[in-house]
Amino acid sequence: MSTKNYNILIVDDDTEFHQQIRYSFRRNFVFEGAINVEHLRKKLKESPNYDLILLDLVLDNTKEKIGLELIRELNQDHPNIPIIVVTKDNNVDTVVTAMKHGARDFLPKKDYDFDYWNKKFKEVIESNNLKAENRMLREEVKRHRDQRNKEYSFIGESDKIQEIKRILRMVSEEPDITVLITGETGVGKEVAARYLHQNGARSERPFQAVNLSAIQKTLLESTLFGHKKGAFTGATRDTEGYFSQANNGILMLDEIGDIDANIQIKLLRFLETKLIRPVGWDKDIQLDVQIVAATHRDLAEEVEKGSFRADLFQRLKAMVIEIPPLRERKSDIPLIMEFYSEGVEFDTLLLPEAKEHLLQYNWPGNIRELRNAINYMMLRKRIYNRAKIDLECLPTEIQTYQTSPKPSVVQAAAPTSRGELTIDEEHAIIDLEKIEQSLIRKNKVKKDVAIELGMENTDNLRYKIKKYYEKHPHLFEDFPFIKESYKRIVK
Amino acid sequence: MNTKGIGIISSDKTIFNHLKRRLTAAEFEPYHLSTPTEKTIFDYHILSTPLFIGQTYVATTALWKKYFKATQPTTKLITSGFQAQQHSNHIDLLNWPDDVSLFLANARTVSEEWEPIAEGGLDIQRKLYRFFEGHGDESLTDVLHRILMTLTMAHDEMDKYQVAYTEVYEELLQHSNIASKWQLLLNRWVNYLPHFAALPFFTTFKSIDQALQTIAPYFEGGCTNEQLLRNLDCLETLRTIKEDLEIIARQYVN
Amino acid sequence: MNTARTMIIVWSWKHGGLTATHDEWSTDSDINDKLIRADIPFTSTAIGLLRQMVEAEGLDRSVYLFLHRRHGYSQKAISQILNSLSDFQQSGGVVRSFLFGEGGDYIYIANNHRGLLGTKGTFSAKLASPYHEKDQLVSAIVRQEEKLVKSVHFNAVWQHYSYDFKAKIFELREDLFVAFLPFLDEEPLNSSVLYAFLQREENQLLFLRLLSFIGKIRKGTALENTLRSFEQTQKRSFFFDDCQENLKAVYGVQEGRLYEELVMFIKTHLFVHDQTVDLRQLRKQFDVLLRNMPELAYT
Repeated sequence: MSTKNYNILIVDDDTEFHQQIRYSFRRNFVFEGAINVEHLRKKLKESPNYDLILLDLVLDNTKEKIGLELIRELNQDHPNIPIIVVTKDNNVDTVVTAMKHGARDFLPKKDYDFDYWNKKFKEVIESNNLKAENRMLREEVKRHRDQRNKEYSFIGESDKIQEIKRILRMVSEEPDITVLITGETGVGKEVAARYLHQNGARSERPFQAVNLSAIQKTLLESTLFGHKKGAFTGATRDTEGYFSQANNGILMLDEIGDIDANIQIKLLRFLETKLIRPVGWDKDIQLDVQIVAATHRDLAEEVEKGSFRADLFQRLKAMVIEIPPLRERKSDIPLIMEFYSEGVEFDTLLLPEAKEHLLQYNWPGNIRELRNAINYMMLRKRIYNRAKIDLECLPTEIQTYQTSPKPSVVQAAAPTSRGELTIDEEHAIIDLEKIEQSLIRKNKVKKDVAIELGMENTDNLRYKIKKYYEKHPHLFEDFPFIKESYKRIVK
Repeated sequence: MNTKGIGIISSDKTIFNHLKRRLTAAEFEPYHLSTPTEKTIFDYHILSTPLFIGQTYVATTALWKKYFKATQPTTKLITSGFQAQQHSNHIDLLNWPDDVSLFLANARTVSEEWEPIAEGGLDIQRKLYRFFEGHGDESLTDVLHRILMTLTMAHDEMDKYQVAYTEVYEELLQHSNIASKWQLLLNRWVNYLPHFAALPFFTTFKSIDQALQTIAPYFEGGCTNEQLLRNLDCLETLRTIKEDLEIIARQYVN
Repeated sequence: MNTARTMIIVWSWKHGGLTATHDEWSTDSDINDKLIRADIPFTSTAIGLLRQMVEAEGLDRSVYLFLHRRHGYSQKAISQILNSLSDFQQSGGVVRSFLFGEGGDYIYIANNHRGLLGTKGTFSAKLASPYHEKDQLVSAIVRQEEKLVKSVHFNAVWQHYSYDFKAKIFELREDLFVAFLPFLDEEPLNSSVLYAFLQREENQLLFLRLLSFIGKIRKGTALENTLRSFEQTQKRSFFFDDCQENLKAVYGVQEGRLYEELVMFIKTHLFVHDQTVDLRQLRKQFDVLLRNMPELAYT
């Protein structure tokens, strides 16, 4: 960028100085001027987009260095405009105070040097632009994170959930403790983990969540711990794993009950030493990562069966938090429905009999199922052009559900309206749900959906949907958008 | 070190002669120092105080102490005058010490912490501070810096960008009122210069005064003559003056 | 000292365009400063007029009253004016009065480029300068039509006169002891020896200053003319006539008494034949007087 486009505001009661600076730097910068505080405020009100302010510290006959306080004020009101103090006083205390108050640099008038000043103006402006870009990026990340956190809001006012939240907040004050979150599929284990992250000492640090059962076993080690270029076929470059990406933050290992013995050993080693060794490396890496593990399995049982290491289980069960199934906190259902219906007072959209069905239903897929049901009902309401959601708008399994004795937690872990789900089906549902939501958000534009889901091209999307359809066509009943777009995507 | 030599700083011949007579009687070798340099190294220096400079009595001990501390840190600076005060480093001329050798031996060096006696007369340290820091935007050094900045800008235009002097004059020098600033600078200089005679740095001030007289024709001519600007080397001369003054300010004011 | 300052300068302002008895000027950077030009030759009514002018400035201002010798003012006139202001001073009014003219007074631009007065009732004068080929016009005026003078000139003059009396006494003391130094080897000192020494030609100025200090120079005498010519050539003020009156009528009873005692000591020890002169006692009396004068010798 040509520096000629940079707009500098000179703030100095010495009009001769304005004229001199304008003349000498006319080839490189555009200048405007203010000769006192009122004038400065007026200029900034009219045009708050200066690239730089050159500020004298003494701006009136009182000889007081009012500029020092102005630096604070300007930094607060116009944090994007950097300030260079240009003054005759180069007393060390003045320099230190000015810099403490937020001035970027200090140029004594007595040491005027065109080349040096020119360089300083440019450097400060450009480093400020870089900072602004970084700031924007940080804000973007924060917005993204906030959005994500919103998506993962831990909704619920029931006694059980309030107690869990209280425990999570307490645990969050212990940034090194390993936490094990248990509960049925769809109860919101990741939501709980994120709640812990948001409220804890690591809230400004990364949060990584990985579903261990969704990763190919052969790639799991490198996915978790990273690998060196050439460590195995296809390892074309050094790659960080989830552990490194989560350094200083929290790593949620979902479905920990599904990992094999090799990964269990490595995870145990990390929990004991905080060291990992990427695949193909000959050195350990020290990391500071808090582990939140989650599983829908009964790990004690897995230990008994010999498929899960007892020592690892001992490590993990230091702090166990069990998230209850939705059927055990039905009082939260209206709140959750309202949350997922984007602020619509969902309750008012429901006819009493529909609501009754929703509250009676046992929600084997828990919150995930409820969320899908909400989308389903809203869509049906539109399709049938109904003013309110009636029984016909409800998913079939809810419409047809008959109140029966409440199943035990153990029983509830497996049965669904579709019958018992295999692991494969569970994973398919997770993926399909993502695709379904993305199709809604992206107006069914497959290219945008592929991009949003991090796929390289639409072929991957096509392949995934086709594969699931061939293997689990019955699951597609719950995903009307996918079903509707199937032919178009898969053709 | 000359262990018997004593440097004497005095503005009055009568005082020097008196000191010389008394010190010679005590087997010392007194030398009159008008402008002490590092070549004249003595164990003792006697400063007649207050010095009579520019029609005024001036208290200079603090400045001389700074000067010697920087140049001859082990020397002992002893004031002498008519102040009736007892002090390890002051000789009351109306009460000459019984054993001047012992008195000098017991005096403290310039590197030690001690406050000079109340000398009476103009506090030259305060005057020097005002010279550098006083008068707000119109202090001599401030005006000098403004003239220097303007001339630096003018030379940049002419030498870096080949802008004609006539344009630089119209756009920069005339707007900056450089000729009237020069007048202000001279007024201040003339006002202060006499007070600084017989001080450690006066040789520098004398050379600055000479330099100002040399470049004066350019400013006196209203700054319109480029040849005078270049031939008299005004910019470089002002830079040298600025540097010389900064050295003095660092040593004696800050 | 009160911060609001008034200078009243009484001399012939004809050339400066003053047509009334007096007018008022201000300075360019301090609204509290006031300069009054007054053209009131010394007559029997002048004392009353000047008293009124000073009193009109009120109790919250400091007033310096400058009286021009050629306008008829003298030590006697100062004495009368200051005495007429004794009630004003006792009420808290601050006033000092100075005589100037014909000599090397600081108030003149010719003696000091920060001065206020030219030579003929104006605020400007030409001065020679080593930095200029021609004499330079130095003016204390900012804008004639606004009756505005430069603060730097006002300040410099005010500051000088604020310590002028004390500085003059201090300088006399120093010069006297320096002059007597050669005699310290011959203690005890004899007054006749010292008196003879002071009367030597090279010590004439010091002798005349000492005479003025003890009030021994009468108006219109050769001694006065000689000391005046020293003032003119050295561009300094040497007379103590105004100083004496201020010490007695302005500084206070204590200072007036100390001054009288010092004068008496000098008269009875230095100006009497064959007396032993104790220089340490002389110094002590100078020092006690100087210590009692509240201002710094120089600022």
